[in-house]
Amino acid sequence: MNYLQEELYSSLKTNPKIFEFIEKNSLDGIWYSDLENPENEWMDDRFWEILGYDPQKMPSKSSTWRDIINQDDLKAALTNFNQHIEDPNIPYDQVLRFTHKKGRTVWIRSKGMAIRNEENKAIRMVGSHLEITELKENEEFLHRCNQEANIGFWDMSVENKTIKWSNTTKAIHGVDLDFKPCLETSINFYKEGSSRTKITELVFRALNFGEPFNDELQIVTIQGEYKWVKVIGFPEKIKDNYNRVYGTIQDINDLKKSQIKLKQSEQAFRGNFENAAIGMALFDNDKKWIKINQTFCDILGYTHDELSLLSFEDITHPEDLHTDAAEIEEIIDGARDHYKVDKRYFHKNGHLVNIHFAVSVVRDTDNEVLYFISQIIDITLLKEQEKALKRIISITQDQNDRLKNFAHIVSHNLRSHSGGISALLQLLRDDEPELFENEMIQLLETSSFNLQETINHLSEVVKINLSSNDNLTLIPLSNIINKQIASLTPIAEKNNIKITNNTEENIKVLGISAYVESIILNFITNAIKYSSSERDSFLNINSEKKGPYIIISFTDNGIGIDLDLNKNKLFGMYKTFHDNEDARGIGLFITKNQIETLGGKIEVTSELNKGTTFKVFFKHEKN
Amino acid sequence: MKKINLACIIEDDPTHVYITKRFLNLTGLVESILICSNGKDAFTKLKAIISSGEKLPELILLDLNMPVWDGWQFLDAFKEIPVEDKIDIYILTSSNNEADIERAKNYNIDSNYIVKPITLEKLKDVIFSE
Repeated sequence: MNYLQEELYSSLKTNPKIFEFIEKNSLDGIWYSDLENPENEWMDDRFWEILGYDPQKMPSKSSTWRDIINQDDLKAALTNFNQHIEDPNIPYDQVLRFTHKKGRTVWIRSKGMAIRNEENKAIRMVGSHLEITELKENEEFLHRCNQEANIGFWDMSVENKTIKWSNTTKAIHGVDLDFKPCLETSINFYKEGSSRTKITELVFRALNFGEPFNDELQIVTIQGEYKWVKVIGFPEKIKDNYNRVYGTIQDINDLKKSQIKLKQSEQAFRGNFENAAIGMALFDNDKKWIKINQTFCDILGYTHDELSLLSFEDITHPEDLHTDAAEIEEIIDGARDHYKVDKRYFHKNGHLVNIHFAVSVVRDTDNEVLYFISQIIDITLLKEQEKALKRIISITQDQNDRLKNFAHIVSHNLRSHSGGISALLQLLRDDEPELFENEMIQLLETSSFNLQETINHLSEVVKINLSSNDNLTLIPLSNIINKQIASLTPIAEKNNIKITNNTEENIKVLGISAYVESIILNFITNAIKYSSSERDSFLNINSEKKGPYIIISFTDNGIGIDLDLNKNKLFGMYKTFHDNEDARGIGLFITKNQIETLGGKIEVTSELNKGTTFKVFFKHEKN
Repeated sequence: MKKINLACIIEDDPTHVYITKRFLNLTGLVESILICSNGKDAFTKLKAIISSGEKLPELILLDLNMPVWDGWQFLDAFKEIPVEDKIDIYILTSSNNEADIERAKNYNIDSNYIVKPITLEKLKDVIFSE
């Protein structure tokens, strides 16, 4: 024994001051109980001071602390006490919770030693208290934090071939609390591929080179669910070798997933931004560029570097610079999130570029503006086309008006004069009938008659084009066709032509009944006029519904039309292509005009000396 | 059948004046004819008849398109004069314009709308309908 130790031991026996010093400064309480009379127990002042009680008022009885000790801890302590009494090799060592006088919990580490008599019977027990409240609270706090953060512990020892998992670690892996992890299989929880390769390498390097690790990997839980975890490992050197690695595992699945999503959407946005077919730029609250894409630069003819040095003031027409000031203000105030406006920008070459400018905002979590996303489209061509189109429409309108007016005046004035001529001729015939034996006067009369007829046609044409198509009504076709056939029966019989109406009985078309009648009359008359005298003639009238149209076809086996020669003048005014004596060439022109006024169209197929089919397309419902 | 003492032709075109005059005579029902070369001329002459207390024409055939005052101007001015006698006004025009026929409705004479050239039959109908 060292002489100093020997000296201290003997001093302790003789000098109580040394004992008191040790008692006061190194311990938080001493107790000494009489195991033969267990209710008797002496506690020192410190014992009570730690628990907030006045030592002078506390009797030396074990009953004094029985009410302020945690009852579970007391049970565990009694068990430990009994073990220690039985077997001195089992130490008495307990962590006990006491309730402080003020109510808070005081954590005490209590150690004790039984003092035995000659018969080895425990008759006394001496013990010490050490307050560990702060330590315990920190531990508790750490535990709570780990639980909240989903952090579990693990500890693997190569030497003992063991691996330990904390409850949270088990929960992360989706296994029950009584699950026993094993060194070889625990690595199989890592997802096959990069995650498993990586963890194998990390553990290998930790064990061989003492490198700690910290990585984000994917595991597959026992339920087969993929989960992102953050694994931290620390190797520990035991006798020259790194045989132990311990660390934490944290469930970061939600975080990682949203990170991945964010990354993907960032990537998508970047891809969109850089390769957009429209010009895009990000700018901040002060209208300073953050980012400009290539298309934006191309629209204005600048390189990216050149444009970056310019401001909105430089590229915007001064009159358009502040046209969206109110909108920007409203976005900053949070009243709106986007707007669109047309602006004029200057091209690098100096000419103006018409821009359609759309702006939306990106805000932070406090709803403050982070930046603006702007998109621009070059609408110069569109604007120019629009202008040109407006000009053409206005010119066309003008010309159309003039044409109408002209046609009107022509038909009006000509009517007056030709009416006069024919009336005068009529009077002249009454006054001087012998004059009409003169061929010139006869020809004059014929000319006058033809002139009048021409004017009648002309005014009819004018009238068609002046009609508005607002007053179209549904007109039953079959009846009208039958009526027209009936009225033409005598001429049809004379010309030996059989007319058949095969149209559906209930079809109705949109039209004006006078027009529809005139159209049908014209086609039937045509078929009669141009029937072939070489064969039994026919005209079949059929109907067919197709899309927005009802198609009425007039098929005859008449003399036909040489469409190669006459296609262009078939529907022209005063174009005749037959030498039939009645052919005046106005009929098809008027008919075509009438059909078009009703929103329809006309098609023709024909073969010389075989026959002709006219297809008339009528609308059958509005719009 | 009723005889017409005085008919009035308001027309600027001498051809139509001649034709209408001839046809009126051919009916054999018209005693005398007053010819005015335009709306203003007609208004002046009719006003003079009124102020001298003579008889107004029973039938007026009115052209629309005329210099100085056209037919509408005549109608507007004439309807302002209070007239006790019944006067039938017929619009005799070469215009078959829908707008003109519509406009005639405002003067309640849209049924008295004759498109030129006038025929003897038409003229007889007009006179017999009285």
